[in-house]
Amino acid sequence: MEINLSIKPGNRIQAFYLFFIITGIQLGVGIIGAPRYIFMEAERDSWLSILIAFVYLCLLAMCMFFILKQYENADYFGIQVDIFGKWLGRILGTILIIHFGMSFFSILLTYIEVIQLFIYHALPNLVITILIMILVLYTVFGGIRVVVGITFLLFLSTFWLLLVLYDPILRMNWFNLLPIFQTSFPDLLKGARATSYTLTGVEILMVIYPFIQNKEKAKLPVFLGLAYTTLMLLITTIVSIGYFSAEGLRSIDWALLILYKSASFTFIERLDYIVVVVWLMVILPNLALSLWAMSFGIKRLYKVPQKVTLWIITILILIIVNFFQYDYEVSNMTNLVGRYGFWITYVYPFILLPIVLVKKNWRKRKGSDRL
Amino acid sequence: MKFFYVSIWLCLLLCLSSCVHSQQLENLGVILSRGVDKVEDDNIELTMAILQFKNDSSSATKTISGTGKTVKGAVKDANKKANQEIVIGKIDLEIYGREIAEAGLTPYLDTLLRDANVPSTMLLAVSESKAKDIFKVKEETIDTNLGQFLHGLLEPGVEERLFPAIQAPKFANGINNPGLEPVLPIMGIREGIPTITGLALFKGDKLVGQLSIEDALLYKFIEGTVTGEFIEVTLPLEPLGEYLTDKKELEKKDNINTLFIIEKGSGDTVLTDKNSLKFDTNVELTLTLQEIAVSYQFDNKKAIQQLEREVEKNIKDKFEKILAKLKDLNTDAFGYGVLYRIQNKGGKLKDEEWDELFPKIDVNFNVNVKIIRHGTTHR
Repeated sequence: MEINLSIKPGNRIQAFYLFFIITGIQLGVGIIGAPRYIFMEAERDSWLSILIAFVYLCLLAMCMFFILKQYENADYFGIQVDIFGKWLGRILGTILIIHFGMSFFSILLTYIEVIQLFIYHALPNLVITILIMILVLYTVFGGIRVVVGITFLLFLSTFWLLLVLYDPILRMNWFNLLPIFQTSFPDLLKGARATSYTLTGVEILMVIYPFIQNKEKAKLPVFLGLAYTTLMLLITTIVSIGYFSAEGLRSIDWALLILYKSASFTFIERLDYIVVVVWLMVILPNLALSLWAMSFGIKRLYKVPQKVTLWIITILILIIVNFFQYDYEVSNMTNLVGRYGFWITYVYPFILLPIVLVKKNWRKRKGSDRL
Repeated sequence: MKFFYVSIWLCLLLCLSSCVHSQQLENLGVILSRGVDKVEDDNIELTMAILQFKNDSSSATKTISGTGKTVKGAVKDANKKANQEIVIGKIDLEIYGREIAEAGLTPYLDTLLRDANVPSTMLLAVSESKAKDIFKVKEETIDTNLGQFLHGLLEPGVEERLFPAIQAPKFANGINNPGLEPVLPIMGIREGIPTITGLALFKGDKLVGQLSIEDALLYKFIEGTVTGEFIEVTLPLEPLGEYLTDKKELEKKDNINTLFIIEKGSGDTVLTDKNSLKFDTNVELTLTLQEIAVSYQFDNKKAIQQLEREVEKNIKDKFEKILAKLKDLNTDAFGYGVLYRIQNKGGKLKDEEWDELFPKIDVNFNVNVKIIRHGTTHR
């Protein structure tokens, strides 16, 4: 297996799309329920927790860029095989693919639950999954450029959702956010960790990086993307705490969607129905990018054509999705992804970095010995 | 080939359409407002004003009722009597009977917050007696359909965010918010027409007392900014005597009635001393005189200042009476407890703690009135 990839010019993408890729994969269903989880840990200083998470994310992105810089044009799969050898590298790569699969699945299940709660009570999981999978497959079959294109377009077409929050902002009680700076530092860190499910997805950078055409310009869009998602989460959390009282937020499951319920216009009485449906556009980039990363990873590791993998994964999803009926199963699933995803997304790159550096150093010395 | 695949998918979609429950407008009865009462055997009675879209029906709305053990169960019961499917997606107003408001509203709020179909813009109110009395009104007397009429009472403008428009989530959050007690408008029948008659004071989810409709206006100042409303003030004539154009008026009467338009009215409160529980509530009022029963020297600056002082005294007096009443009922509708909570370590306040402290608080009302205009005449 090649460690470095050579991508055809027709498949390369411009660096500024990284902004949309990062926001596309980070913003999904997590943000709907996140305010409650963060609030349970960090109370009224939740905003501080989110800022801590942002600083950590920036460090993480820097770490990833540093690892990638050590190679010519490699991705996670190639680097792991290079560092840990063929077998261990493949196992680690497979774990990463399973991670993408699990987060894909948790997003799908959560969205299905939202649809069933808000619009169609009796619609079976299978039907919604088929409808969503048609869209996702259609996107991923188009290749990386179509996936990135959909991410870009759907970002633009869902941007207006943010503006609707003006209504809950007018209704919120700012006193609910006071007093500030009362939470202890360990609790703040716990709150920052509670964002892990929502902000997960940065690892896509390590997969998509070889496809970037102008790599020297890749840093800024990534950091802007991280800042944008953090800002979204920050606004959602602050408005949620202000709108629901402190005690109220503890019992609210779908905080963001309930915020949207309070907005009403003379020409659209129930905007929340539209928001729930439009949310498909928010999760579609997420699903498409995860599915693409999965199929691409399997192609890299096992040389299975992407088309075959896509069909197999789709069939698997269509089968498994029927077994999830209870809502606690769905929340267990997201908790699971949040918990182990924390180690894969947020901790693993920092472990990988010293190993990469040591190995490179060792190789250099070996090279100079030979000379 | 691509066309072939696409058409297969599209055919699949056609089969899927039967999976979704369809709702045709003609077959629906849309609840506009409903009243909740308690009847014997712990049953809930719902009275609903329903909008119907049948071509052949004589009226656009009708009132139906049903009973059940739960709120949704009562809707289901009412559904048996109607030939349409009753849906809740556009409900504007829910009115609770006084009896159940006094017993606590939490059991009835649950379905409103749990069901995603219930809009968050829905308003709540309390009835003076049974809620179903409100729905007995003849449509001829109100010139519009009942649901719209009741909603219009509470929310004249779309963008009005102050009392008397209190949305269900706002009320629910008021129950949960330590140091702040929720309020709701009270509705009653006056001369056969439903009107707002006062402000219901709650403690937790239980109704404990009420303020008059005049006092409700003062409540608005504390809650936010008020513009464009009338305020009626009755002033003693004696202190103003000096500036009357016709001094003989003094002998004829003791009080004069005045009416002002509120150009801008707002209030804010600060906690000045936490240990002795001293609060300052500053109310700023900018008024325009609309009506006064005597002729008065409006070209004299001192005369206007004297009038301002009298209005200030009057309003301050009213505020103090309201506060005394709130202390008596031990319900902190103005939310002084929130300011106290903020000063607490960790920002927490137990309900019991504030129950003990609230009757002891000392509030200094500083009312600042400016009468900036007095209409098109001088005297």
